[in-house]
Amino acid sequence: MGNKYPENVEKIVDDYLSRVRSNMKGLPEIDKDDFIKEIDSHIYESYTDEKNGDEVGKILKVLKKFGEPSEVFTKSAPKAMYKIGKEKNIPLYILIGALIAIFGLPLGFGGLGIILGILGVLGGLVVAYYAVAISFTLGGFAGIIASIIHIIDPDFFLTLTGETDMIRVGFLQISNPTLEGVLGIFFSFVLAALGIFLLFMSKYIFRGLKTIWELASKKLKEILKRNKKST
Amino acid sequence: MENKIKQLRKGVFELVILQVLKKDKYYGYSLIKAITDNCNFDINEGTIYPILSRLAKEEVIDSQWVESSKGPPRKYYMITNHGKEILKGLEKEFKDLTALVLNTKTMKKKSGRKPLSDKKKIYPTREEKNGK
Repeated sequence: MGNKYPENVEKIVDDYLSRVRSNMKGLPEIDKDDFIKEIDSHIYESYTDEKNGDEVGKILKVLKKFGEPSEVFTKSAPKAMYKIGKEKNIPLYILIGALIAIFGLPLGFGGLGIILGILGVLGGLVVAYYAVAISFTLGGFAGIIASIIHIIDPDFFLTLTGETDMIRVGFLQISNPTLEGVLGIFFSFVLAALGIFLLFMSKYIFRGLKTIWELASKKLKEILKRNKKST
Repeated sequence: MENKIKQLRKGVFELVILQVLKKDKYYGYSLIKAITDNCNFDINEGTIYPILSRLAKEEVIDSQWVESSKGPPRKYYMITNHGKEILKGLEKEFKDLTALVLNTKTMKKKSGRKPLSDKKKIYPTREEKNGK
């Protein structure tokens, strides 16, 4: 940086600039050099403007006014400056990359079908999942109730259908209604538990899918918008 | 709180920088001086550089290294034509925002709850999404 300062001041400035540099992660070297050159120039101007105090006192005052490197250059700065677009876009690029790898098709104009396909499959998957989970839960509870009724009144379902003359055999084909009822309760309970478990797990399972869904629908909107413009 | 103030300042600071650069070209240190000399505005001088760099990247301002007789070269900044357009928009927006702040500050308590219910009506889909 030349010999523009007294030796001890030079040391302080060099140390400061190296701390600034170490806080500029993710910047191209050429930009770092430019930044450092500019800040060095600033510090020099500020130092020569400072009239009061001894050399070290002056430079410390100047650097204090400039700010702590970590404060000046991390929160506001280079990273944010060089980040193109929002963070959310990054997974989209990964998704597109994966799709190109799988289907060998770029997701441009011709990718519309694929996006629609993905949305369709995801939608179907979610609907099917909830359908299964809900029917398991409801079916389980219904089974429990039916089994209890079966124990209390073995003939209930037969009278319900009006077939009183039939042999008293229930849904599990066991002739002892109480045993059948207990087994029925047990299986129904397992079924209901499974259904509830599936419902409970859905928020974890679909967490990843939700992201893909959002990305895909966002992409779809973009494609549609582009198509609208071109036609 | 401090963070909120910082964020608010950063936005306003951009506007101020452009206003100053519209008058003349400045290098970093002189720009800081021009801004802070007239008023008591306590800011880390270094924070101006990331802002300048971003503005330059957005081609709102342009820069040029100029040799100095007194020391190391200085990097001068000047506003571009695109920047002047941007500044016009920012100035209008700032004016509207200040009016908004003053308006809501003097707003009567009775109507204070209204915006909240309006907000609910405007964004039902987002709440539904989150609820799921």
